[in-house]
Amino acid sequence: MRRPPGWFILVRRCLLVACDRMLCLCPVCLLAAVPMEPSFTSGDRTVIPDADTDLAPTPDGRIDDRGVRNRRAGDRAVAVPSTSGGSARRVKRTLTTAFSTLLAFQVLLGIVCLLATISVRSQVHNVVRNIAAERQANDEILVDMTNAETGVRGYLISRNQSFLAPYDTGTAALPARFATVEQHLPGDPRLRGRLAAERAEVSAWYRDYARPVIAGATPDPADGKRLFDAFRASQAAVADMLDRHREAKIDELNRTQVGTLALVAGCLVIGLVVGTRTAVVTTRRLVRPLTAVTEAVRSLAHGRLVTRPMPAGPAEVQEVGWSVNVLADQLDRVADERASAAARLQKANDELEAFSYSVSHDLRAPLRAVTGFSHILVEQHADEMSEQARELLNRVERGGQRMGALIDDLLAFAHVGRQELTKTTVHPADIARECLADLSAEQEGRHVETLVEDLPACLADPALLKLVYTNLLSNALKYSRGRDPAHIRIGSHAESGATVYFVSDNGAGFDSRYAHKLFGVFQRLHKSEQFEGTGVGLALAARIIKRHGGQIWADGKIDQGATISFTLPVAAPS
Amino acid sequence: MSVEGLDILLVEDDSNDADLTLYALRDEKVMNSVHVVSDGAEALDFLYCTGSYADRRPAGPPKVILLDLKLPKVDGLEVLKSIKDDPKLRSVPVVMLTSSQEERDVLASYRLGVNSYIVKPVDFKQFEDAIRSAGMYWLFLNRPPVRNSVGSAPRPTSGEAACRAEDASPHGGGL
Repeated sequence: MRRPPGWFILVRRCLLVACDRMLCLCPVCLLAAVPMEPSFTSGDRTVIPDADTDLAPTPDGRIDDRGVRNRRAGDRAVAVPSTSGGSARRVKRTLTTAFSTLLAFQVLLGIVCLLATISVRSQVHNVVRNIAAERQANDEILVDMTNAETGVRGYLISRNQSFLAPYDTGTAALPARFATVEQHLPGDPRLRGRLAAERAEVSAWYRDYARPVIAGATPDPADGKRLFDAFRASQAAVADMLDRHREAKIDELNRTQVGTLALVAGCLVIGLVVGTRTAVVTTRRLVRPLTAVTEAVRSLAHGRLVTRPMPAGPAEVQEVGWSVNVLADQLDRVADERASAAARLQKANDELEAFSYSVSHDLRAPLRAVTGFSHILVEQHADEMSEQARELLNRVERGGQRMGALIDDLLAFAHVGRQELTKTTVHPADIARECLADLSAEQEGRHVETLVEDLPACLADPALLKLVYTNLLSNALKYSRGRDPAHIRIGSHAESGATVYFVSDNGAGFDSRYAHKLFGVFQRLHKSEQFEGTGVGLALAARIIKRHGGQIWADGKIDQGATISFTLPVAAPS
Repeated sequence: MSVEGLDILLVEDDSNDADLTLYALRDEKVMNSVHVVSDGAEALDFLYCTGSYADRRPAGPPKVILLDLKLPKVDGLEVLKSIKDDPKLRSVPVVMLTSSQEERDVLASYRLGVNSYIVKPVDFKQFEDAIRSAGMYWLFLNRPPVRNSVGSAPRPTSGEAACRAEDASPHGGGL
């Protein structure tokens, strides 16, 4: 086999290198050509100017540079952290995927084209190589014929047999030469005709000149020259045709390769143009309006309910914008309603406060007149009255006192509801001991055994927690009045992760069927002749515990004592 | 002695409360030197010797003022502010005697310089004890400064200067 010619190797190498470079550069070209970050980052001001989005300001607001319309003049522009919007990012990812796919497709196209080129080139190369072999064989026919002619001419002059040696050699080689030429001859009928003509000229020379000379005749040398010249001309014609044929084949190869290269380059350029255009259009039409909507939603979520996105971009995105506007209107309305409800509530609360203030001040004055003057009457004019009249006046005074106590307790109850909590770490055991000391009058002349256990610290308003313990201990002392000894235990235990504080006694207890009524205002389970009280104490305690975020409940049975338990948030370890 | 003339000015709009207060003070030998006024404007007239009190004698300020908080016309806090803003009257002890337990009233009173704040109990026995203790304390235990030595640069405020004990009003000689 013959090696392909040097120029061919050179061309092939250049082609391979070029293809290789181009394929490597493609991704770089794509990445450089597509304006990835600026056009997708919402906060960046280098976004491609968007002529498609009409951002004309409306009479009732203005439009900021992100296409977000603010409803009221004077409001600050929407200040949203300029992180990339989630939707924009997703679109970017989609676009990146699309570009990668496009790139891969183009690479595949390039490889296919390359393989096709190589295949065509290899076929053409084979043809060219065969033509070269034929051309050589044709040249050797001329050499053999020249040898034969030389031998014949020598023999004609000398009639010496030895001069015929070149003739014999040339004649012997000729059939093989013709066979070689014919073997790979391309199917061109003109070429076959030319070769047949050459063969005919060779036969004519042998028939009309060489063989008669060898047979002893003496033909005219001019005939020999004419015949040989005819052969030479037809041989040159075959050679010329073979050369032209080969050149045509080489041209064909070159054309094929250039065409393939042009195809690949064209595909790449089209891909780049289409990809870039898609990116730009997507950015303009989709990402920017979407980013504007996203920012408006974020602004709404931050509580700026006056924000309204300006619907822009494709119909679907505009629809999202309009929907967000509707949602924002509704949110705004709800917020307005809530604000006015809060205002009404505040007003009601203020009125209630004014009422309780009024109660505090104005209701007690006439009550004091009732208790005061009935007291004075009993004190100053006792001897002018019957025993029964005195007793009735005493009852008037006691009624007034009781009403005063009720008013005071109610006011305290109302006050606890609106008082600010000042929470600190408190030690309930200390508070309980203080309360017991304050309630010492109630223990006078009685046998009371109190047990204050070690109690874990908790987070509470100390004054209010003291009010809780005062009420619970006062109740415990009151309802255990008939016991000797009365047992009062102040303790705690852990229950499912929380600390439960409790105050228990061995007093009169209560009917557990009515346990839920214990914590209601003015709810009493005992007659006031039996145990005095206003029925506010436990309600007050419950209100305080609930305001602390704790729970309170009661356990007990008639004549078997009562236990009031509550939970409080645990104090943070200091 | 004119300076000793008036012990207590009771500013009280509720006649029941006024009577009960007087009754509570009955044993303290001050009954004859308690003057009762029924609103804030009258109290200021009395203190500054203006209006219907332009000619009152003795003209000096009382030893102690028992002041209700909620009063018609001029309320107790305004009266208190007026007293404590006046260098002539500033040293007169003012005891708020009121039904209000509201913390904001207590705070406002102390901010204006009240000397004592007593919530009137509904129970008469407790009320009596409270009035008596306050009266006893401010009249007999408390030692006030020598008259006019407080407010070293006495200057009449807005033409309504407190009448001085020693200089009788020019128009006041008629009584």
